[in-house]
Amino acid sequence: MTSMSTAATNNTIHIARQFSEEPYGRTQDHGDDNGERFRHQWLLPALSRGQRILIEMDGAVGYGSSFLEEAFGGLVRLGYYNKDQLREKLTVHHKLSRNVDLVWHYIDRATFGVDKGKREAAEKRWAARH
Amino acid sequence: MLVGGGVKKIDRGHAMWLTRKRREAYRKRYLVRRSARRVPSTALTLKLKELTLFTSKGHAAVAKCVRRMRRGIKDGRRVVIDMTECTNVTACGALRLHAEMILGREDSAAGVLGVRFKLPKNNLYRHFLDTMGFGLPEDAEVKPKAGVLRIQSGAKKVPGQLAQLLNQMNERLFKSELERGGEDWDSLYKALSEAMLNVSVHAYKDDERVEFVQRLGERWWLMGNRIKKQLYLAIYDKGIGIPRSFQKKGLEIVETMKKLVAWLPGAEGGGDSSLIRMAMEYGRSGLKQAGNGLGLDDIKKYVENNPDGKLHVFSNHGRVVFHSKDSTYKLIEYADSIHGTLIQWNLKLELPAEGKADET
Repeated sequence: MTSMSTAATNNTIHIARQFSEEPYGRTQDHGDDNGERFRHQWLLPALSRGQRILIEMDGAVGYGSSFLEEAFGGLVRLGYYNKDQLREKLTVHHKLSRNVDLVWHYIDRATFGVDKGKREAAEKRWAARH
Repeated sequence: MLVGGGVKKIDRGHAMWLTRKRREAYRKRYLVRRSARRVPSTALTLKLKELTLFTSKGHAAVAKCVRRMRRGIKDGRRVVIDMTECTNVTACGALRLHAEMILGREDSAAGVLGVRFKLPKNNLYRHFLDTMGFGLPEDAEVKPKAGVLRIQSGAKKVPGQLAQLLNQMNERLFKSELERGGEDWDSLYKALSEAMLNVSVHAYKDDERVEFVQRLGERWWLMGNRIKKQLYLAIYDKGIGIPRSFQKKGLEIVETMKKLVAWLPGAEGGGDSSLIRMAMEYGRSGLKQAGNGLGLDDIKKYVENNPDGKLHVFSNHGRVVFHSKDSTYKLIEYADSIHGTLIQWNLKLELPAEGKADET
């Protein structure tokens, strides 16, 4: 896994190269390569820099729905960004268009801030690990 | 033949002979041969005539066999499950009994010899059970057969596990025809990862299962069978079951879902099958925002996209069958519980029409 600075310099997050070849599950309970970790370690820092970022999904073994929902839908549910903001900031690429559609489906389906109460707990969990 | 620095190189024939001997040695431990002398007189022999969960009779027969096996083990007896006269064998029945036998051996004072079995006389059933590694531990060698994935078991997701499982499936079921990252591969990854996650999230989250989890982990058993372009998968866990897991979400959610699905035939019954049906609907109702698992809903999407898709969800006393052809549900209640959840479904694969893999 490369350092965060790699993502910062070229505004691209290559999931398989930089995060994991086998992204799986929602939280730490489900394994290390979970959606919550990806959101906190990669997505949120990159989004906070204000530039448009490219999420490159090619190269991984596969993507489970739970991982995608937690990582991307979680950005909206936990009240970090709304759908319009994410449309402006994110570009998602995968050779299978259905996986790109799935990412946007989870973003569109999520209700903004519905899980804001859980945000603190998620951040604490993340901080405790670092 | 000796080559170079004295390393013994064995020829192909010898290697095959060695493999056969090893396989035979394994099978001798678990399989009861025809010779009655191998069965100790104190052994409890249980005759099983149907190894399926699809019929009420078969469902009851498997449940009775499991009950008696557990009682026998508790009494310190060795158990022999005699399936020689079996007239109906299906993957779901075999998967459940396999899991129970493996667990039975864990509890048996006689260890691996505590539970043994006799395969059916019927060649088709015998061959099917043989190739799926029925009743054998994971490290036992099984003659591989194209189109059949032997029973796999796991307890917790470890890095690389899914990639390994998919590679194995690709090799066994598709003669490595699946393109890594292609549509079929991706469908399989999603189906397997969500099914495994579903087990980890819902099945064992209960105080009653603490001892089981400490001893054996959040265990699941999985098997696959390819027939032409259809891939049949089944996964079984010994958790609390979907009805109990769903009830734990709270009375308010259960009541809301009852109102939502009240118009569905049979869903108002209040039994386990209607709770399973509600849990399936809940996943797609929009009531669930940050649900833990998208499992059932996700699996169902793939079944819906398959014109010949069928989804069977057995959990505790209930069973829900979904047919994609007419988008209908059938709810069935059984007198006996399967003490867990067994999900069987089939995916349609986009393989080339003239695939090299055997069409079994």
